[in-house]
Amino acid sequence: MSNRPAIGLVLALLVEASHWVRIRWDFDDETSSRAWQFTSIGIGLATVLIWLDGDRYTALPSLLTWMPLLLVPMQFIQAFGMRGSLPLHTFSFLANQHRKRNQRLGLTETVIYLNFGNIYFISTMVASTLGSRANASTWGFLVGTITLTGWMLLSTPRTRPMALILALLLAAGMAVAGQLGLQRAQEWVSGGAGMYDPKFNPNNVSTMIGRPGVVQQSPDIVWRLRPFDKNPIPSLLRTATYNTYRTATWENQQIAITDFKDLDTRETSDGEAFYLLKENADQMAIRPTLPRFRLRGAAAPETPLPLPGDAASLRDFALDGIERNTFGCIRIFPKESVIDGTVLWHAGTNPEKPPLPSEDLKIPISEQKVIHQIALEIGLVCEPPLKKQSTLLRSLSSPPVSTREDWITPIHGRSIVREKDFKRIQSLTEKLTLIRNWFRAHFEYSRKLTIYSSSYVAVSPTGIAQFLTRERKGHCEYFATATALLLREAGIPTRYATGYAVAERDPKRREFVIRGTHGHAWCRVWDENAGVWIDFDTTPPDWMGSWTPTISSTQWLDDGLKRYREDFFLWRNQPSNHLAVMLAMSSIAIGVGAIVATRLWKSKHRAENLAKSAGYAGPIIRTPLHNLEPQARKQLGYRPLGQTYADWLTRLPPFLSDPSLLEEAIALHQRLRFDPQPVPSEQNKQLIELTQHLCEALKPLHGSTTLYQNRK
Amino acid sequence: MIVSEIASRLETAVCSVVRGQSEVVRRVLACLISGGHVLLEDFPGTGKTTLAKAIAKSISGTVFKRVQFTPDLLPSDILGISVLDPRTQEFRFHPGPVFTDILLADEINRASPRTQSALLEAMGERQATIEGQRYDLDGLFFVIATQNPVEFRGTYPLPEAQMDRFAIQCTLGYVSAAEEASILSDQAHAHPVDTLAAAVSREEILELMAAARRVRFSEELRHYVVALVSATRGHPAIQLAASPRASLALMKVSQALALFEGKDFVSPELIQSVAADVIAHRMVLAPEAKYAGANARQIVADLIDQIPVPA
Repeated sequence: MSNRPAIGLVLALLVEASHWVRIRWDFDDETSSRAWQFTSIGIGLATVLIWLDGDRYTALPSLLTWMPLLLVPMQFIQAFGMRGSLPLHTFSFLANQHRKRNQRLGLTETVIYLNFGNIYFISTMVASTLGSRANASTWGFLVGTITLTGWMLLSTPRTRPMALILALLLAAGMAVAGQLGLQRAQEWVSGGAGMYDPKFNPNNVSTMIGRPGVVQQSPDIVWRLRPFDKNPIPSLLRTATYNTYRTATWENQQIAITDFKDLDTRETSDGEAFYLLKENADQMAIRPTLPRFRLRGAAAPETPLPLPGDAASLRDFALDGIERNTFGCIRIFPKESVIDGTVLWHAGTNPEKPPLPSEDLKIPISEQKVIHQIALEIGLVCEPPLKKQSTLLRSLSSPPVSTREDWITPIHGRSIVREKDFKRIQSLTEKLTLIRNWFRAHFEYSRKLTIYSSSYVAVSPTGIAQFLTRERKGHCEYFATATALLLREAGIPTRYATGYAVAERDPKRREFVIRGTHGHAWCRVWDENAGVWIDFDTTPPDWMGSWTPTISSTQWLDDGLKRYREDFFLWRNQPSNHLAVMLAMSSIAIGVGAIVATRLWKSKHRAENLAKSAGYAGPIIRTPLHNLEPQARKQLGYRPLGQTYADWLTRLPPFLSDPSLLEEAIALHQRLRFDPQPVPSEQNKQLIELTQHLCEALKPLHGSTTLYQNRK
Repeated sequence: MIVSEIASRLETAVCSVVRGQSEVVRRVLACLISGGHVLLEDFPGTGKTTLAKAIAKSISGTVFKRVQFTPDLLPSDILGISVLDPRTQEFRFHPGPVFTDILLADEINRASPRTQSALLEAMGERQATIEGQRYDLDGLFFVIATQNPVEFRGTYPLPEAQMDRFAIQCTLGYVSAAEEASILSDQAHAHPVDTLAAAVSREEILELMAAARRVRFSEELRHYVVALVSATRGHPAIQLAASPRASLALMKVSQALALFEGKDFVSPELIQSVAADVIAHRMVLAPEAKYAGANARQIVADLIDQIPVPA
């Protein structure tokens, strides 16, 4: 709640007010159960709303931050009730039924009483540390903790300064440790710093190459794609591109991690705003003839947007920010948790920058030998290999990123190109066809991976080597990685792309559905003549159909819920609907609040009012000893309904130095209270004096720990 | 206050014989002073007879009689019978043991219901009607009945109406080890009840009974008593609830108890302390509650907890 100080302050005032005001309610078991039902319904509703509003990884922390508000009915019942604690069976329907049965049968049950204040305190602490402004690196909370602890300690008498300092240091240390621990726990639960895909990293992706097992992907719907009339639909939607292969991992090297830059925007004359995906794009990127489709899905900050390789511009998305890195990975900061907008594509341009030969032609040393052999076998290269760097370099008259030394150094120190030995100079298309045909002829798709490769290269052949030479069976990551390395061997700058294949059509809704199981990997190949990157996928085209995903029997329900949730959110986020929803919700809340408040107001008691027996209409006599009740309550808790005042007070002697005073006072009190005969006024005066003495005797005890003794 | 002094003399005398039972003794004596009768439900050998004897002996000029109830006991064995005198050719009435001041009805549940009922009139109205003739009983007529809670073979449980005639039902129970040891040393030579001298006179007891009726009872507490007793009436675990006779008895016993406390008014603590003794035995539990293990005394204790007491 640290980001909602007003609510927090109101709650704190409400809870603390019980110490200042004397209004109390006689909440019975029935009321507390009802309050708990109310609270449970509130927690349930909040869970649903939070689930609808955000993604599942942040649902628990945000629910916890709302806990103090949700639990306030229970704390209210305790703080303003006459019992000062809550019976444990309030919280369990079954235990409550059991208690009712026992009551009906006249059996006594030992009731365990619970001080709900402790639970409330813990929930408040947890909530305050989980709030969006709670952070171990901001020191405000530490000051707050120390101030509060100090205030509490100073109010107790007889605190030695050294002990005080020690306690404060201890509190501060525990606060910092608790804060850090909670943060770690939250990161662990949410699997990263609140990203939509817990595994997504625009600079690094690990593959299953060299690891046996079955490829597991979630069948949940991730995105939905709705075509415009007769516009074509892209077959591949890319989320990220990587350029450096290390053992089983693709990375982005030589690029600063924070190389995300904001996108340019452009407005047409009729006021439509576009995000331009390519740097310095011109009017062509928003021309009306471009094919387009709508993209809809749940998104969190830093979610990568799946886009076709030649996407040109975006419109209609409600975003706080949108960024692109050198590799054309577009990530967004959505305004709402569900986004919807139009993508314009097929422009013949790319969001990413031209290749960096130093990286985009690099083959890891451990793979070089095998790749070279295979390239020879396919006929991609001759012996010694043909290098096309020089031509490439000429085409890149202005290298976009860097002009460092290694930009022009021959890669891997290979020998100079001997063009005349190579039969003919192949064009890019021919090379791609060669590779594609070769993979089609000799490889098959499988999600059951059998290749094992140790991370120590010396021990066993690499995963790619085994894939290319022995197994010839694998999933898209093998195909994409092997293809990328082979093309690099053939001198074509190639990168590794991840994203989704557009494969499942929902005819009823006339849209395409993209699930986790459609996750795919392929290559981005630099077409030197056109000056663009093109998608190149060597995975057998039937890969989607070659295996039946294990879809649970409730998948249709998940899909439906997800669809309705997204559609509802988009409906709600429209400004006119938003207002209506807000009004409806707040009027319901105000209505419920008003009903509860009026009923509470009608049933309120003054704390010092005495209970009347049923049917008795006569006056209730107050004796001077009744003035001791607030003081005694601090030691004894509330007087149980069925315990006489005298019996209740006789539990006080452990707190008194002279118990005989109390005995005398009780005897006088009983005479004044229950003897119908008129009592001489001296006795009244005597009791006033005795009560004053007793009050003073009890005073030094205040501030020390309160002894909550509940019903016997 | 003179009556309190009488009460404490009586109590001290009885307590000198019945060791370690001061609370029960006080309640039984309060019951005597309030004009009610006591049902002691207890195991054999816990001192029921000794208690009755001690009470009888500490009051000078009282007659104490004891009837051992057996299945073949007849009503005439209790009330008395008219026998034809051959000399006078007239029926002469031989009064039974009911014509006494203190009657110990031992193992009352062993007699047949017919015989048990013979006691009803005597206990309720302090009179006996024998062969159409009404005989008034003595003003001090006090019945201490006992029954064994464990043995049920060959017993006739007391009818509800008879139960209602007892002002209180209580239990002596076992005493602590130290008290038991002192009982042994007391009886090493002779039973202390044999040597017990009368501490109060019959007239003083009657004075005490009159004083108990004068003990002040506030209007508010009367409502509390009624609230407590009537709470048994709506209780789902109770089939037969306590009658207004219970309220009356609760008021009278707590008034008498106030005398023993040295007070001339009743405070709610006194009512609470005897409520279970006065109310519980008059109730019949619902069968499902009975078989679930409910206990009438516990139900009364729970009601005391739940009903707001004048503070």
